[in-house]
Amino acid sequence: MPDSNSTPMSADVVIIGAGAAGGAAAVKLLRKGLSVLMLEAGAPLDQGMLVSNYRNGAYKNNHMAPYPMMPWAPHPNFVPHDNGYLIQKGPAPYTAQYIRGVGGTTWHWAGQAWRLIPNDFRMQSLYGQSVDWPISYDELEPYYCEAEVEMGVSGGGALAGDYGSPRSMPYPMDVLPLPYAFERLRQRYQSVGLELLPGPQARNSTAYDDRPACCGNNNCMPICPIGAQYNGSMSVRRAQGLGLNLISNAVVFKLETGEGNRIVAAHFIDQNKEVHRVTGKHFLLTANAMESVKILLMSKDERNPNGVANATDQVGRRLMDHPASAVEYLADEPLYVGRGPMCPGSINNTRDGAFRSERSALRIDVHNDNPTRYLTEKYVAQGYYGNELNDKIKRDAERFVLLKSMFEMLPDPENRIVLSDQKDAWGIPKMEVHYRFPEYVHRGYDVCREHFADCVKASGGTEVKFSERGQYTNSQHITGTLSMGSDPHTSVCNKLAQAHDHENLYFGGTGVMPTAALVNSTLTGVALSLLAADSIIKASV
Amino acid sequence: MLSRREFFVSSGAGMMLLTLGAPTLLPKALAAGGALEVPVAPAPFIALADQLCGQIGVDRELINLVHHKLQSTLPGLDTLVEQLLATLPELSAPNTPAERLQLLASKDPALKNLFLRMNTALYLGTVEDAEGARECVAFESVAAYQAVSDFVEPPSYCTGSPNFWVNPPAYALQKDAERHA
Repeated sequence: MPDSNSTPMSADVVIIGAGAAGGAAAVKLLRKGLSVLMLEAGAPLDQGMLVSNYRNGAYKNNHMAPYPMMPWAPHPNFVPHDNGYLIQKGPAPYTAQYIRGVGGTTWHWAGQAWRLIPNDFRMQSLYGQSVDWPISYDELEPYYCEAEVEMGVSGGGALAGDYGSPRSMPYPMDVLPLPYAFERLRQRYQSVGLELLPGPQARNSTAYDDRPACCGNNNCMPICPIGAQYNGSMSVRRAQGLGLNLISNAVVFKLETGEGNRIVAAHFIDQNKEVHRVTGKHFLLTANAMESVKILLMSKDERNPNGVANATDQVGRRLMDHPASAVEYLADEPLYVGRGPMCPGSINNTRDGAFRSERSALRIDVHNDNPTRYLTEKYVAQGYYGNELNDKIKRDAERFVLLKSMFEMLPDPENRIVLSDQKDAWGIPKMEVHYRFPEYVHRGYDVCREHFADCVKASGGTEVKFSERGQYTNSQHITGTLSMGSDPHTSVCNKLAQAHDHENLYFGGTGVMPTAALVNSTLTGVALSLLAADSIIKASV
Repeated sequence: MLSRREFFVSSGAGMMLLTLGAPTLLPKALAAGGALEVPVAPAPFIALADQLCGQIGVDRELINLVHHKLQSTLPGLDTLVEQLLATLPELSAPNTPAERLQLLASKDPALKNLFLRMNTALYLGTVEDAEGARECVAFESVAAYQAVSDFVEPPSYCTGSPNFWVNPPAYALQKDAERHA
């Protein structure tokens, strides 16, 4: 990379990454009177254009398709072909999806805003598996509350209570009610001991944060058309109102260190391939669990020959996700999925227990995606046409059920991201990903398959199709890689989310999670980012 | 706090959605090229499309667009259309859809190819060029969504109010009422 050649820019805090984690932290820091400069590799994204892109898109099952990819900020894409940005080294695939742009990947999440449960923080102590977090649930709980207010989370209610995650404040909004299909399945799954509950969602059940209530467009992924679902751009916009200096199309490729191994500057290259240098007192890295790793590994200097924050070679290790398996079937009654939010409820009483010492716990999401396109594509390829096709689409779409499970990955140091020799169009290295599934997950699958079979039987299912043992898909919950821990030889940052190696470098987002637990990780990632912001505020006093 | 209606008015989202939610959404490429200039498809093509879609009154503009697109990627399209149209009566004989495809392939693989591509275009709104690159020619007007219009809207469209999903669709209630009448 060439040297920086423009006037330096500076702030109390430089945040790298304009997603939910960075946006929420920026709001908190600005409210405390700190100046914040935010660098985002991608471009600003326009909701109307994204909706248009979705409706005009030829690959509607690819949630990445509506999101424009700038040549200076490529993202992984695997449909219709692997674009080669994230190089798969196996043995298992890790087909991550994330968006590089203002707002980040929460543009196309399902909005499930789960907290972990207290036992998730003590996997080693309680079950002899994985590791304990250096903080307890109680220590993170205030930040969960802040994150829920910032994002606008609806949840709780008579059926669900607190989901096993004790609360010091009520949910900002009442829970969204279950769709008709889910209520029917809830009643029928009870007979096999599986409890389907309405989940917590970063989705408005009433007008909140100057945004409307959800009206069930059933398009949370890839893009909520009315803004009832939270995305990170909303926090970034709020931060801009508080004085945030946002620079988009700014691809950070180096963190510069100085005296005492403090971070003194971030260097970025823009869309015109011009290089800039920004300085700050504190740096917060929230560029997602993969891109953050890339920045650290690229930032090699004499003090840090393995890259910044990487003295013990822990950056990029312990990559996790929630491996997913699935079953689809036709119920014996019309259910009419596809009406309302896409993931409004799930089965959670399989999430914790002594069995975690032997095999992965699991959660089962009931999917509410409109199945019409999926079924039609299948039946057209099989040779159906005319009224026979119409009748089959209609009958099966009425009865279609899709269940997806999540398993808990273990933090394996060999599951990791490293830099590739290959470069993108702006000369930035691509990443290689090494990934494998433990037997712990496979044993979880075996139990899950029994649960799936119970669900099918309880609702009179036919035309059943199970996914195979060992064939898991990503849930797009990219976790690990910047693990929080007490030992620098097994983690990257401490309980303050502060780098072990650099006193003014902090991390936010899901990469900080030392274990993946069983729930969608975004809320925890934002809570950890708010914890990091708190650490910066305390260090600034 | 703003109501949903107030949000739409204040943010311009309402205008955006009204624009996007027009009855037929034309792909950008077609719109830019003047979608209204797409010529009316030949009568045999329209007849074939109607038969392939059964009792669904498939959108005429969609048929014209599909013809326009397929013509540029399938050499001899109009001749193949007439052959497939003449073959359709024979397709009621096979017992299964798979046997139907076998019958078409045995007559001419190009007929099977046209059969699948026409159904894909009319039901899913996508066409592929000679290299396999897929293009969207229609969304909410495709036959698949017409088949289920009694109980569900295409994704990203909503005609309900918050929490409408708690109840079964009116169509289901009507069916129940008829059953109990």
